[in-house]
Amino acid sequence: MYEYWLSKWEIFAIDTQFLVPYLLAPLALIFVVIYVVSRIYSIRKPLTRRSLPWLIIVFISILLVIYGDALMAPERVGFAVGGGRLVVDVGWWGVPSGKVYNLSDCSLEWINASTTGIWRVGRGGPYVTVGMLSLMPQGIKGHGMVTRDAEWILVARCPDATYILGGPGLNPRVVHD
Amino acid sequence: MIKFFLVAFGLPWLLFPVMYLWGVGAWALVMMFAPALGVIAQGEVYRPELRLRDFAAFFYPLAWVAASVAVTALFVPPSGPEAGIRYLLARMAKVPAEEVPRDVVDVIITQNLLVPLLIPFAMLMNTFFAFGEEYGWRGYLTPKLAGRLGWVGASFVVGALWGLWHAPVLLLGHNFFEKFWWPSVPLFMLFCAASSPVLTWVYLRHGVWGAAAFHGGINAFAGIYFLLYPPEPPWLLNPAGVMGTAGWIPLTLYAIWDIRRMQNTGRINADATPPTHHSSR
Repeated sequence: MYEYWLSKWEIFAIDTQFLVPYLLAPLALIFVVIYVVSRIYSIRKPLTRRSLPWLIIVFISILLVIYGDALMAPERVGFAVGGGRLVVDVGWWGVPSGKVYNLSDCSLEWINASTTGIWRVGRGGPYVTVGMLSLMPQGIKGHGMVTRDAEWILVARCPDATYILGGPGLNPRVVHD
Repeated sequence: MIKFFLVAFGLPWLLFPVMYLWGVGAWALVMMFAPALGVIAQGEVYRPELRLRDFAAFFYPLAWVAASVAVTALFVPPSGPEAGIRYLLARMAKVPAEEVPRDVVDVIITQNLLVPLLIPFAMLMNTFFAFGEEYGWRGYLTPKLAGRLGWVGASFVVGALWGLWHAPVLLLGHNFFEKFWWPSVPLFMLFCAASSPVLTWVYLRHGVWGAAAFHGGINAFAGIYFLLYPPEPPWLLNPAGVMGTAGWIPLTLYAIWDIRRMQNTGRINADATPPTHHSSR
């Protein structure tokens, strides 16, 4: 049985780990802008009681843009496969939650991640891609989630939907475990 | 002027390894303030007048986009938006263009069609960031050099320097999509030299904020070109490439004619005193 679950706060932490280098640029930009404008327009104390709240609002807005997506994530997203069953419980970016299938009802195809490219209409965060995914050049389309370190991608064509799933350590053997 | 050049050109190269490691992204916006920081370092700070009507210059670059499209249409029939967007996405993802799924292309086309709704926001943001550049190139360096070279001569020299200044981001693939592709630098120097008299003309008529709005308009509207032409090859069919440079020619000729006319009628001083758009401190 293979299970892969990711909590909202793990997504948040992964985002932070990947985005810290990118946060430095907006911070540097805010500092440079304040310095240049205050020098040109003779604003002696750019950080006053009036301007500081605006600066905080700008900073919080930047954080919201970066983390807004993770904040709206369900408490837990993931899937499980093996033991004769496939469980898809994502509930994010159009991928269903609480779906349980008998593996015998789904046709399974395994694709090595190195042989495919993933296109998405959905979330493409630094580690996990979620939403309507397309595998190219295979031309397979379906809902699902795939992590960056997935070596194998499972395409499960179930009676009511096609799922594209990938996680760390997922491989064709897990179906038989 | 040495401190100006040291800071204006030095800061982008200091940021180069950072942009190489972490991507250009917002660092390019930090870089856009390097010329303004150069003026501050030089100790020649001035205070440009901020007038709402000067922001009209934001829309002038639409004439350049139209001219670029018209020039290109003489040689290549325009294609629909799909080809250009498919090409750009494929270059970003390093896959063949035909592998980009139709859904993704459709989403991007829809986003592009919604862009006019964002014009007020785009105008403010693009103008503000371009101000960091225009404060140095048009508000400081052009008048300095105009004393020796005249406004038109100074425009071409500043344009070439302005294009060269972009080298760190050009070498990281900005505008021409190819990393460390050295012809991007002379190509963009040509583009900037060709556009610079128009920016000088806008500066003389609308001041530094007007030039910033115009520069912001170039950055905001250049992408329209890709809705009609995929940038293949990028040095030719590209708003920053040969066709975009050619698009400046009619506007530049008009700008040169009008700058000379303004000089001859005494509306601007040949010894580089710009009109009353900024006051020294």
